[in-house]
Amino acid sequence: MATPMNTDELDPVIHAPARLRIVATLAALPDGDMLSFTHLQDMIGLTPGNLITHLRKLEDAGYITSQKASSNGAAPKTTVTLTRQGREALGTYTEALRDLLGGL
Amino acid sequence: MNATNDPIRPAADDPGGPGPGTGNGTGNGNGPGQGTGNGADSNGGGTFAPQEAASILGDASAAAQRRFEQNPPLLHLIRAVVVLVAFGALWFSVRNQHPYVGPNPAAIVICYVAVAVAIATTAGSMRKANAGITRKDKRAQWIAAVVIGGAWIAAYVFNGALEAYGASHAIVYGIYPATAPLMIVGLVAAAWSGAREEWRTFGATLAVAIVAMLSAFGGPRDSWLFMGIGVAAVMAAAAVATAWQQRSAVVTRRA
Repeated sequence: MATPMNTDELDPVIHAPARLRIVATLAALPDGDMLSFTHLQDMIGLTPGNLITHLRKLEDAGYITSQKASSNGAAPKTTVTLTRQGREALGTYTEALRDLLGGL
Repeated sequence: MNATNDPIRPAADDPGGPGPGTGNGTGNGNGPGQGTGNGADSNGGGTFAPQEAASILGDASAAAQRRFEQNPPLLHLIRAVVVLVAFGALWFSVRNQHPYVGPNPAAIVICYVAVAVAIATTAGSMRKANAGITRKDKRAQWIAAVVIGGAWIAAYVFNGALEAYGASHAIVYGIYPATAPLMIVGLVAAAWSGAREEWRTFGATLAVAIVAMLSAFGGPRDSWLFMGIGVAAVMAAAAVATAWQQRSAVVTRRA
C-alpha cells in the first residue's frame, strides 16, 4: 500500500487544481504582461464566478494583481498579471513538488 | 484611459466587469469556496495528490506556452519553405548566366509573393499569440520593428549607391542583395534579442547572419543557393528547438 505523501510544504494558496492552472498560465507570460480576464477564463475553463473566487485568493496572497481599464467609452476590460512574488511562489512550489515526487 | 485597481472585487455598478457566477461544484479541492466548486477550496488542496499537481502544472504550462508562442514550430517550418522557394527561384534564374546579369522578373515576382506569404503568416501568428494580452513593453516592440525595418531599408539604399557608382552586376544584382540584407537585419535582431535575453531568437538571427556572411563567398550565382539552403536549415532548426523547449518544459515538470 502506498504511503500518503506529506503535502504540508506545498503552498496551500497554489496547491489547488484551478489556482495551479491559473498561476502556471500567467507564469508563461513575460514579467509584467497582463492577460484579459475573458481569455484567462477561456484557457482555464472555469465559470466567471469560479475564476473570480480563485483570483481573489491569489490576489489576497499577493501573487497576482488585477486592473480594470476603459478607454473612449468602451466596455471596461479586466486584466490579470502574476506578480514577482507570485512567480517566486510558483518556483518554490515547483521545487517542493519536485522534491516530494523525487522522494518516491 | 482610466484604470482601477481591484476589479475582481464585487462592484454593483460595474456592468462590464466579471461578476459572481455559479459553478458545477465538481472539483479536486477539499471543499467549495465562496459560492462555487471546481476546487474553489478555502484552505488549499488537502486531497490533491502531488502527482496530479505535477501533471496539471505540466499540462497548463505547456498549453500556455503554445498559446502565447509568437513563433511556433509550424511558423518556422513555413518560413523554411518560403525561403527555399524564394531563394531557389532566384538561383534557378541565374544559375547558367555568363556573364552574370541578375535574376529575371518572374523569379523576382515569386520572391515577392513568398515574402508576402511569410509576412502574412507571421502577422496572423502574432495576432493569435497576442490576443487578450497587454504587453508591458509595447513601445519597445515598436522601437524594435522600426529599427529592424530601418536596417532592412538601409541595406537596399546602400545597394542603390553601389549601382549609382558603377559596381558590377555581380555585386549589385548578385552577392549584395543575396546576402547583405539578411546579414545586417540578422545582426541587428540578434543584438536586440540578446539584450532582452531571448536566447532562441538570438541564436536563430545570429545563425542567419553567419549563413549570409559565408554565402557571400559563393559568388553571385551560388550565393542565392547557399542562402536558400542555409537559412531554411536555420528555420528548421528553430522549429525543432521550439518544439523541444515546449516538450521539455512538460517533461521537466512531470519528472
